[in-house]
Amino acid sequence: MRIPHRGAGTDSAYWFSRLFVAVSVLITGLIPLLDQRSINYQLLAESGEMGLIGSWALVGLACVIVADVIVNDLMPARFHLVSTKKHRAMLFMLLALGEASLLFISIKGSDLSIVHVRFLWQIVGAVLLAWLDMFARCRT
Amino acid sequence: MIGRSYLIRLQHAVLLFMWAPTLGFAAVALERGGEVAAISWALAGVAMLLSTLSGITALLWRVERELREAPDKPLLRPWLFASSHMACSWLAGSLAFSLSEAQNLNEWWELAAVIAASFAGATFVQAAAERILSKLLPGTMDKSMGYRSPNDYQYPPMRPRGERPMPQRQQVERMAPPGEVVDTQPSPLLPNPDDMEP
Repeated sequence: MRIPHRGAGTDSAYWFSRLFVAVSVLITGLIPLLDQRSINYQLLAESGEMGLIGSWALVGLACVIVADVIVNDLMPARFHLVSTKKHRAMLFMLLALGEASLLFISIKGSDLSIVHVRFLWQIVGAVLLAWLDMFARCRT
Repeated sequence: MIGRSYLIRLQHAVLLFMWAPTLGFAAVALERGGEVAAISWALAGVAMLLSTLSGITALLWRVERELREAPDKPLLRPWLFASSHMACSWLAGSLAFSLSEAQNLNEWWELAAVIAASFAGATFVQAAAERILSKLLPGTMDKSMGYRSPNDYQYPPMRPRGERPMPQRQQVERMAPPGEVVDTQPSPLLPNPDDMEP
């Protein structure tokens, strides 16, 4: 895989961080959907089917961000997704809001546990990337 | 004349204290519901986290809109901009969370109420602050401060070159009044141009 640099199809130096956070959220969302013995499934199943629907929505959002990184940063310059690039900060804030929503639902049904630290860490990463994207846009 | 700092403090006070009555109403509503709802601190903390994220989303949305409308415009009073957003987001979110807990709402309705109230509170106070500040202070966060982006200026359309010449400026000769003798001889103080060496 070619590592992108400035002027070769990417305009952001944080492409790996964005990919890392998006894939991490994608895995977190897929765990309760694919494994019913997991702790995440047991935490979300107490809220009924809505918890799983929210998990599906989070997976879809993470897929959009992964597609944004692949198309806008890793593929050649003639391929681009303008809308995701334009609203990248909003996408990451929605990702953080989705994670916080799942955290709220899971805490409502049970107590705080060490599993929730992972949610909090992903929220911090998503908010940080949204701010970095906005700062980069202000600088340019 | 009232100084700017005084007005800014006044607006701070208004923004801070305008939520005090609503918090009082929330406390009354909680007490009227019988016993005060037993709210776990972890749940309240996550509700505040949701409120913070919703407020940051509203803030970034506003900054993004500012950048889209006028990329070269500096953001005035950023501390007031951010503090009004976040304070009102927290207060609206805590109010929504308290009322939802008092009413024993479903967790999804409670979640939606906290997020929507935080976002709407931040956006509403931002709009109100813009409207008030544009009247009180000369420099505000909207275009009423006199700032215009380069795209806002209306220049006259340029005439195509060579089609029709622009009217040249006519030379106005100063006419001597009648009776005055005009000295046509060069002044002796000035050097004669014929004597100057090339």
